[in-house]
Amino acid sequence: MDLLEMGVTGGAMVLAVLAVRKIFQNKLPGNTFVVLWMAVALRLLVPAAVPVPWNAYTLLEHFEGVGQWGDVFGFAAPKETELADWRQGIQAGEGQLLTGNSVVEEVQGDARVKEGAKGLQKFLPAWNLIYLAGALLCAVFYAFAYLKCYREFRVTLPVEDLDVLSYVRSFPMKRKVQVRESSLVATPMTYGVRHPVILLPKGIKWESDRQMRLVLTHELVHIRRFDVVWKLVLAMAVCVHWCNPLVWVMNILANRDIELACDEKVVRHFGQDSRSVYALSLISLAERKGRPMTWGAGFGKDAMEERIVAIMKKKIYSGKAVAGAAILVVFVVVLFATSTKQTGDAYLAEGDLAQEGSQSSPIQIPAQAVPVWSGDLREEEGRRLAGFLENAYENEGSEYQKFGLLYDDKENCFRYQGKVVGYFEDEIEPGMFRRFTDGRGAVGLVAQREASGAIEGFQEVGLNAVSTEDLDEGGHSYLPQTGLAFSYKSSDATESAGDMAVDFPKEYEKYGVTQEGKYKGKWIKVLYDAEHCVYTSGCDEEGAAYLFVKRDSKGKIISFQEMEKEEMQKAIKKEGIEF
Amino acid sequence: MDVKLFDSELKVMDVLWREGDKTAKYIAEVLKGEVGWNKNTTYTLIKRCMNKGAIERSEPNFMCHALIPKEEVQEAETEELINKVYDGSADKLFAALLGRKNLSAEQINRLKQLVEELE
Repeated sequence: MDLLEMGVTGGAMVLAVLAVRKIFQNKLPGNTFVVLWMAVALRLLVPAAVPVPWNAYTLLEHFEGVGQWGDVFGFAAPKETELADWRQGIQAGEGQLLTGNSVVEEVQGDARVKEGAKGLQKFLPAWNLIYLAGALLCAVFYAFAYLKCYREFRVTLPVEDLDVLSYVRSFPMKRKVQVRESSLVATPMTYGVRHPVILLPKGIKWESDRQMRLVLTHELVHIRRFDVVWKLVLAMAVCVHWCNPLVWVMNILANRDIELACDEKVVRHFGQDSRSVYALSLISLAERKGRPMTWGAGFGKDAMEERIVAIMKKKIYSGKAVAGAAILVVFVVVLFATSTKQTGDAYLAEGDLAQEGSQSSPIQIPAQAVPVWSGDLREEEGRRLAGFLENAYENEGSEYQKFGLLYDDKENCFRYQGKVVGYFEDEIEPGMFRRFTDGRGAVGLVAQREASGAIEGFQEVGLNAVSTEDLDEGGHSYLPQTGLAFSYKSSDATESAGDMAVDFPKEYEKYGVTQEGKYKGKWIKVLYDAEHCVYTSGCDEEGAAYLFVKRDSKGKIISFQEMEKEEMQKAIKKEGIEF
Repeated sequence: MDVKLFDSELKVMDVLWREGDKTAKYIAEVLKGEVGWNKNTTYTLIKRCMNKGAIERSEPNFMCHALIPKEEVQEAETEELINKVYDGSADKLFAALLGRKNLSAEQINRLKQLVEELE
């Protein structure tokens, strides 16, 4: 879940709608703003199928999602992100509105990205717990208020005023509307979706038949427009984004605009002349509502005043105004509610970097990097290293090239200022080294990076400064006599030969794969999971497990199959793997 | 004896005053026909009346008996309750005609003036 992203883009959209509202209030049909607010609410909630994290696994995934975004936003100034949104928004059009974040969802499924988020998990749980607690508190508060009212409303009595009943019956509506009265409400209101109810204060005295019709029409319009549902959607947005003040602002203003749009419809229904009668009806109902308020007066622009002005100023809008409003809505929606694929890519790139860094263990290697890593790297060195090397060189090759590290394919070596590089070290992220060694080399190089991670250049080091032991520490690096050897090594590598923890993707655990390299009690000889993990071990073939992992197009594991050796060989023959 | 009952509770009492002691089930059936409440709604109200000492129940069959005559009951003041129920976020969750805030006399006057001005 990329809640943070939804919060930021949704918040930007709130600001946009605020501006539009400021400029065009009372100049455009009231529905314009309701539609805009609903677009914002959907932007904030979709794809906010934020599943309640029922188990630790989904919770973890959730944390990772937030973590990644925290990371991205930590580096990129919000402005840039927004610009990316804009660009993307213009390119992508409205079609992206609801599906925009699927990119991130896909990436999420990718084990490689999960690896990258590991470091962030350490400090994220605290923040997430606070967030979850707040969201839960909001939801409980709303649910409690809702239930309390609902319980009281259930015991209300039906209204027997025939004028009221016949007017409500005459109003065209598919659902049957009940009219009830309660001494517990001070103002007419509606609730219920499938079985809508208009609830009137007990013993409400209508000043005129016209007032009764105006007020009932207001409620009937609410029912016809399913405004109760929209109010619930707004409440949900507040629960999910409770820590975003802009969302609270939206909640207040959207609720106001729903009323204004409803008033507008009532005036349209009864004609322009009814404006002042309607406005005065509302005022007199407010007057009789009960004790005058003793606190909070004059706080902000008075909602009631705003409403009266809106009612009095509303005119019948021309086709032009309606068309203009429609264009405005499309414009704002396209600008602000579309996906942030641009950011999504940045996110991917982060993930890729992290992926490289995470290869502290030589075992979990993306298939395209090296087909197989066997228990004894030395034997395989000749034919495998070349592939591995070229691939890694490609990843940051352009950076390396810029500073003079060039690959010589004739000799299969790296050259720096014409000299063969014998030792290369690049701390791709703190504590994570990419290294290669070459017995033919004449010069040692250490990549210099800025704090931001960008490469500044290379520093030459003497080859004798690099000891073989130093490289062997991780258990999988060595200085070959000829050719190149390439490795990633974490400075805090804990594994030692013989007792090595295999860093399998977390999702394997569910299928019975342990971190020591066993499957259902058997040692794993080969595990093949295209593009995610290819693993072979040097264990005895007898009684060892051969595992073949299948995934669907979204990267979700669909089967975890144990195979015979021959079957397995056939299955992955096209990959050119031998074992 | 000073028992204060709400209108919905009075509806339950009405059945007992009208028809004498009746079972809860019977009351529920009558009120389902009269005001459309479901069984649980009526049972909830009977329980509230019992808590207020207006109804006494006896076995078998949850037989209800009105403890107070119609003349002694007064309808409860509801203003306090209105504020209780209506506080919080009811106007955010249901579509209410007017907002939660009450208006002062000056505000009402100003609004009326505003209507005149804009007319």
